[in-house]
Amino acid sequence: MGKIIVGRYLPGNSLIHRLDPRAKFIATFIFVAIIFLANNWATYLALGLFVLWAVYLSKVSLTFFIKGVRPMLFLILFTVALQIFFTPGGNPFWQWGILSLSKLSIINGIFILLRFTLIIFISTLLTITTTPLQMSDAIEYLLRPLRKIHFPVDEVALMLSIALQFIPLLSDETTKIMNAQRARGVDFGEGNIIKQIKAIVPILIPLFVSSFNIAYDLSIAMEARGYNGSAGRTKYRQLHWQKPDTLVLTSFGLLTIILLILRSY
Amino acid sequence: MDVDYGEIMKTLIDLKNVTYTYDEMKVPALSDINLRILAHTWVAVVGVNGSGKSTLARLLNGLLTADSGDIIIDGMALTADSVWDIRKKVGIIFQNPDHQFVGATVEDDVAFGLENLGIPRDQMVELVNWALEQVNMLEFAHKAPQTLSGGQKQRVAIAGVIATRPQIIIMDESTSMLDPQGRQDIMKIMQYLQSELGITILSITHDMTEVIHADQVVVLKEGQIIQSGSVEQIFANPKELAKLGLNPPFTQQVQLELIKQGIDIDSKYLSEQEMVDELWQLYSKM
Ligand SMILES: Nc1ncnc2c1ncn2[C@@H]1O[C@H](COP(=O)(O)OP(=O)(O)OP(=O)(O)O)[C@@H](O)[C@H]1O
Ligand SMILES: [Mg+2]
Repeated sequence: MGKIIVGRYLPGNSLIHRLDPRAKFIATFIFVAIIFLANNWATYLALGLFVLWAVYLSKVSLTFFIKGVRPMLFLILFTVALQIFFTPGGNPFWQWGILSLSKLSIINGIFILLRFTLIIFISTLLTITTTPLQMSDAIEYLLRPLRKIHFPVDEVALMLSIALQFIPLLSDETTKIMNAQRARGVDFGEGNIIKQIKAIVPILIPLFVSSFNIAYDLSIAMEARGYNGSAGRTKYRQLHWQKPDTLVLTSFGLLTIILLILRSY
Repeated sequence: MDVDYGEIMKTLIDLKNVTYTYDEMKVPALSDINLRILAHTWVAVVGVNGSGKSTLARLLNGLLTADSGDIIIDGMALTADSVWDIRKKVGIIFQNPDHQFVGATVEDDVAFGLENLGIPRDQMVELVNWALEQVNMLEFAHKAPQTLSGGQKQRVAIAGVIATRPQIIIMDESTSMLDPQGRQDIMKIMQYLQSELGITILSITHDMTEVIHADQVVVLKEGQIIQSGSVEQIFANPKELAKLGLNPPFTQQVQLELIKQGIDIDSKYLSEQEMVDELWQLYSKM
């Protein structure tokens, strides 16, 4: 297994890659909200062009985005089919029991399809251009207001970043355990489902034991280095909000205005 | 010369009748330990598995609290109130390089101890760079831990500890999981830290070639100090040591044997090459 990549980050140095992760996070949320303003072809066209432009700026090949849609394909088609066949109204040109087809329901189905695809594209853009660490930094920052209600934001952020960092180590550990079990005659990936599930148990238990050992060692190392909760700690890693970040958010504001205008046509 | 010997010979670590028993254990892991360690020295702690070496390390910076006895570090008694100040003075490098890496990148990890102390960010940047320079890891500052070798990770761990400028560094078998090259690198760095920064080193080890460098060797057995002294004193009775599974390196065995036979050979530590030189010079003198 070796060096696995967490998430789907693709290294790069495009404008989108260099944006502050907070800007990307907020922008993604805004997009998911304003997509519900779209109600006609013009609005979807505006959204589509906007997303394609963003994809172009990221210099990431479009195939990665299409790949992002694939795992969701079944869910999307299912929802679209429901929408098409079960929307009443319009002038159905085909009807069978409660199933009906009309121009309106087909258009609605296409809109839903577009909505899904655009949301997947924009969230893929976020995960492809942002490292997991930057994400956890952004989440930490955006959750800061929750400190007021005594939510342990800093602890959660530290946990998140440690968890991310230990994934490669645990995956190595898993490989080691699997090899050790193979040497003892366990077959992985053979036999029926029950057999395969049974084969997982001798991996999981040593893996739990070894994660607890790592956690124990790490907690001692952290305490030895003076970790005493987040009170009074300073932060080394910093996020830098720059002009392009403000511009990105402004462009999302403009997009919202355009949608508001177009939707009333 | 105006040398303040009081300062040089200062006792940095002073343990008085220290006893510690783990919960639910019948016999103490350490019993009635008395130990004095002078500032700026290199102390090697040896002993078989389970003799209490790691327990000693953990007591020294308050990760464990002694049942009885006093631990005094740099004149400050270790108590529940002083433990965080003591931890500023005593850093520990643990055995497994993978299990002590807290930060997501090298520089983040080195900064961890500084963040805990609440050091302002611009000072942190300086200290992180300085510490990484000391261990020759500056060029790796932005790297993730899984891209580093075990020896490099241990160097980062050392940088993380020295960034907070401690007076004492404890190494709990810190080189035991490394290859020979990694081991040598770490030893060189630690010797540099001792001589250039005046850091006192307490090194727990099974590696006898490492023990040879120590100013003081402490031998633990079943939670008690059975011997403490210079390398020459400790290796003077190799048979006793062999019973504990501690064999001096071959060069030293030869050297000790020759001294015993009354042959005039330097009794200081000799590397293999020095030993060879010593031997042929001896031969040509005869
Ligand atoms: N967390 C613990 N709980 C209970 N007993 C412990 C614990 N850690 C160590 N011990 C016991 O205390 C004794 C001393 O252990 P310690 O870890 O200090 O030995 P050590 O000299 O460091 O050994 P090694 O060379 O294996 O690292 C041993 O008998 C050990 O079984
Ligand atoms: Mg130990």
